Amino acid sequence: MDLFEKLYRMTAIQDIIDHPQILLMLLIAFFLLYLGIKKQYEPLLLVPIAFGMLIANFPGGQMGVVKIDESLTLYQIAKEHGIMNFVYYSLIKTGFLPPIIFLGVGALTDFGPMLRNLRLAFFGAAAQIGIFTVLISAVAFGFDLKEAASLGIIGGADGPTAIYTTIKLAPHLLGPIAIAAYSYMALVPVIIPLVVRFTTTKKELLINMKQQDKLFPSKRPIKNLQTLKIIFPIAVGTIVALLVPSSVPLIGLLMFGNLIKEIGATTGRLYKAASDTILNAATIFLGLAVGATMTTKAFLNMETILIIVGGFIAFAISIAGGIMSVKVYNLFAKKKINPLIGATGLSAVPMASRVANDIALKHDPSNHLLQYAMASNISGVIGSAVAAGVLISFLAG
Amino acid sequence: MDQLSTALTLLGIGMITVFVVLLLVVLTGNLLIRIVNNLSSDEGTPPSGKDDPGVIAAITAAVEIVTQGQGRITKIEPKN
Repeated sequence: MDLFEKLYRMTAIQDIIDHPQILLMLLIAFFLLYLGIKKQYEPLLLVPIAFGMLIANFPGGQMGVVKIDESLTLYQIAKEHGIMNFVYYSLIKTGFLPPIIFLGVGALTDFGPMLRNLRLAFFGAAAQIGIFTVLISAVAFGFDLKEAASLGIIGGADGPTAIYTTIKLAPHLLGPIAIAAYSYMALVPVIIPLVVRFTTTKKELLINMKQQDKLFPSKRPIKNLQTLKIIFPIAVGTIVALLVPSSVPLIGLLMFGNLIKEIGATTGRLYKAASDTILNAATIFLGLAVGATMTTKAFLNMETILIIVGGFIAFAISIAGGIMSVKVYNLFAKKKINPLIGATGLSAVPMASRVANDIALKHDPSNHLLQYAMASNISGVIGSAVAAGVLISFLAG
Repeated sequence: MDQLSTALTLLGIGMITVFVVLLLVVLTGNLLIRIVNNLSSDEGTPPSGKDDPGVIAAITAAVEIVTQGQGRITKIEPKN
């Protein structure tokens, strides 16, 4: 009988009976796995996050991230609190993984479309308005400034940036903010058309970017794009480092990743490592560890609901902000711009651009604006990282 | 109230900083285009890889090695 009792105690069943809220967390994890696997919503990140959440919520597994005395050595953390806490406190809490992911993103980014349409980069700035307006609203709702900034950064639509900012400002909110950021990024094909429907007219959506280019051709066509693509990341990295040093961990590695891609064969091995092995390994550890922060205690509370709602509002305002800035521009410019270009000013590369392109093609089958959308989309990545740098500079410490 | 005024300040500073940084990125990009264009025109137009027999031979040899003789080139186009 004693043996059976020991066997029963070995399982997690009694703990789950004692704490039934665990079941709710497991259901949420299963639902997120369903979204990632079956619906293919950002599966590369949602699947590790959901699985991390699943294994973190089984009692006794020591896979949930807990608040610990940070003066412990990494060896002590691993020994006393399990390997997931080791991963979290060494790779996430130190802010190591998000910049590493930016390195990989940089290696996969092509600045060509942005260089060909530089003026469209401004709409990547306008689309950051959601970050700051939600920051203000969140403060009004009772969040402190650091928490509000972490919530607002969801509006930047950039997962690593949201995670990096939250680690620096409000690490206790990391789980729900990461889930909100990645869920809304996955829902870009739903959110952008929704905002576009309420903020644009059919006439505006019919603005054909290629026709506008023919009517008003570029005064300065690029003669040597390859050389330009090599110099550009060095120049941008330098400018950002000079003006907003706190965003350098993100922008610096983004630009370095891009540089080793553009140099070509001589740095081909570095490019391959950054865009493949390093990015994939970082994504796995980031996803699992962020998921493991979502334990019942950290996740099932009013703050999480407010973060989910606030994140959506930040997202929607950012898209609307980009669209409105194009509308204002069109009031004064001869060469008109399709407002969908503004809608892609938030990050979420390249999905936002693809969605904008699809909407444009629905209204005019000849209106391929993917390349134009990518220009503001990529500048949005820079814009959101700079916004994050500003928030960290002012609020961290 | 203090927090709200700090949040409003952050809205102003944040948006201005993002605009200024991207403005500088645009200006730098335009300057670089101008410089690179000038240097490129000084060097003359480089021969197109499509028509250069040396380039075609190099590509053919590379494809031969990588595909172990199984690959076939049907089209050569500049990437950009």
